[in-house]
Amino acid sequence: MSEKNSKKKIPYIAVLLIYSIFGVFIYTSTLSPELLGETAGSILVKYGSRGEEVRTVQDKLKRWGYYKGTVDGVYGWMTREAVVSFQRKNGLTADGVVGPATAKALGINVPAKTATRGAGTRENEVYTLAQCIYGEGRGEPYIGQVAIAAVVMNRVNDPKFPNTIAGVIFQPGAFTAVADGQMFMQPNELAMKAARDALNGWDPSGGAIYYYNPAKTTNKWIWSRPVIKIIGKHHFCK
Amino acid sequence: MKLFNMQLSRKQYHKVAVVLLAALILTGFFAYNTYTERKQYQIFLQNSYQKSFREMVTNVETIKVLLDKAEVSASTVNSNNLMTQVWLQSNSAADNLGQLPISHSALSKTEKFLNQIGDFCYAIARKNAANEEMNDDEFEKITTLNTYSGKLLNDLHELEERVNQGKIRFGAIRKQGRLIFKKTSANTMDADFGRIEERFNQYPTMIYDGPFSDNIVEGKPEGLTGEKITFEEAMKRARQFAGVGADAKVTQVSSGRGKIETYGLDIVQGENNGGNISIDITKKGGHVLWMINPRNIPEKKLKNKKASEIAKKFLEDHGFKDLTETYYLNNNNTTVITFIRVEKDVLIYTDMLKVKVALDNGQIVGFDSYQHLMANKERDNLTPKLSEEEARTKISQRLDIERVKLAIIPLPGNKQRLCYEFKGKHNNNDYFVYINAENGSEERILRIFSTENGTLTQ
Repeated sequence: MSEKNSKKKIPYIAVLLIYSIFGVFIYTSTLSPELLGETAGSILVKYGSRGEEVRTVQDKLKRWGYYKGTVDGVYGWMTREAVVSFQRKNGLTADGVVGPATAKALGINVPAKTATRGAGTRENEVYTLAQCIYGEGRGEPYIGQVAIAAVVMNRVNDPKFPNTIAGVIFQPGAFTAVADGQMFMQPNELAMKAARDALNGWDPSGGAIYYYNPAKTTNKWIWSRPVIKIIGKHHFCK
Repeated sequence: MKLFNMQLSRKQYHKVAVVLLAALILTGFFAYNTYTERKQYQIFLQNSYQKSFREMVTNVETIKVLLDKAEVSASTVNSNNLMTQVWLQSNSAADNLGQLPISHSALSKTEKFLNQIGDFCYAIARKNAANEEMNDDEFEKITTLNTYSGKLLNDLHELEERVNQGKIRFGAIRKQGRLIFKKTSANTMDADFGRIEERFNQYPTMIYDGPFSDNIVEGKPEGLTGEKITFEEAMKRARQFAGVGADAKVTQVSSGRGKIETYGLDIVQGENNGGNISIDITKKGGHVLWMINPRNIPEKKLKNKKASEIAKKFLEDHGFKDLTETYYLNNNNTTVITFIRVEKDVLIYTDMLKVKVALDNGQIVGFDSYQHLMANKERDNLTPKLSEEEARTKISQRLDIERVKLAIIPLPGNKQRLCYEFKGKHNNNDYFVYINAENGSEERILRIFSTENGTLTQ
């Protein structure tokens, strides 16, 4: 009798199971990071990050014996493992992401983002440019990243394009990283540095107002433009 | 699976059917929800495109009327008023056009036209403000611009009608949609706009005193002197400039065919020494156009004063003479120092060089000479007509003057003027005020922002 009963329940359980998985999936995918209590801006470093901050984290973790790899400034899986075990030992959420709580436990000073912003500085433009660089060309060599920002600056100064940095970057269809939302990642230090160099007037693109990746572009019109320079994967043109 | 091999009784079968039905209803509900949500986003997007489009049409309508009026205006005061309004309207029109989901190749000429109208009218407004009337040539340009805005307006009205009838919709956002309907619906907006663009094919070259004037857009590197050099010479020059030995490996990464033709070189140093130094050497004359050494700079040891001494010595060693330091900016343990040329005690702001110094060991990690190479080397007159005392009377009483110098400053439209530079204070803010050394008019005011990271002017 009991066997029969449990057999009866199988279809219910199966359907319920499918739906709860589905439901959880929908729920988590619609939850924004803000609701989860971790805004993108407060994450210091995470998997895939590079730069000085990663180096600091690795250095601390190595000294305390959590991290066995080299201090190279690249947040790879070994760094992630080390962070997770550090978080577990210290009663933090073991998510492998160095946020404010983990940073504090590590003894790293979290600089207040808005504190350094003074009147008249161009930090707003630096950040917008850096996001564009990071979204469009994080794998590119440094001068390739400066060149991307230089193209934005050249467009601002060209009558054929909008006249502000935001106007150029958010022009529909102008940048793939803007169209697919990749732009809204936290840019790394390198991208910020490249953005500053471009704002300070460095232009490795040679005055280009377009660029494309020949391996990914099928647009015939862009192929017809005279190429000025080739840096990394990108062709820069007039 | 066992579940499906089971012999189900009628009752059990019934229950399974009910459960599946419930699942279907739930799925349907979810799909409907997603659908309505998507629809709402779509409408929101359409509305924002429609707003931009309609606002742009209104802008162009207003521009047309204003230009009509400008053609018969004989008063500088009223003309100034009209021109400023055109400037405002065309700015808004260009901005709205930039928001529309039309491919760049289909709208670039219209965008340029709108930007140029605004820029041209702003130049006229400035002229009017100095109580100067438009000359015949400028009236002719106004007429031309008016004719083209009329044509553009006709086309826009036609387009608007079709948009209102629902024949054209803005923005096929979905990529799949684009692939399937590539040849039919998705690109009609592009095609229609492309047709408007064809009207601008005979649009004349516009030359006037503004940054978007056609001769400025083209611009020539007047400071680029010397003979053509070979690739070997360029490599030698790069090694010498970057301060690396003759054995350092140099590779050509690109060949620049921009405004200034260059050999794009990389000095290979390997990862341990901080990566590659990129350097562009001009083909004509072998000048260093720019250099970037992106190495990591972990700490700050040097003071700015020491850095500026290093930068100065570096420039002297490489043959750049008669320079003075103006602004500096600290970032990422580096400092970027801007140098300008000084000729007979006159500051030449149009002739500019930038040097970036690493604050850990004083290495030069960046250099840029674009402005220096673009600057015109022959300046006709460096003696002012007005005396310093005469110029001083033109300065606002509210400014406490600290020092005065002569300077050549860049003005819109690639112009340069000899001015008296008054550095002064008001309300604890620092200012530069420039008084034209020929006619005493106030050409420009800059506010200086001094922060711990450097000085900026705006």
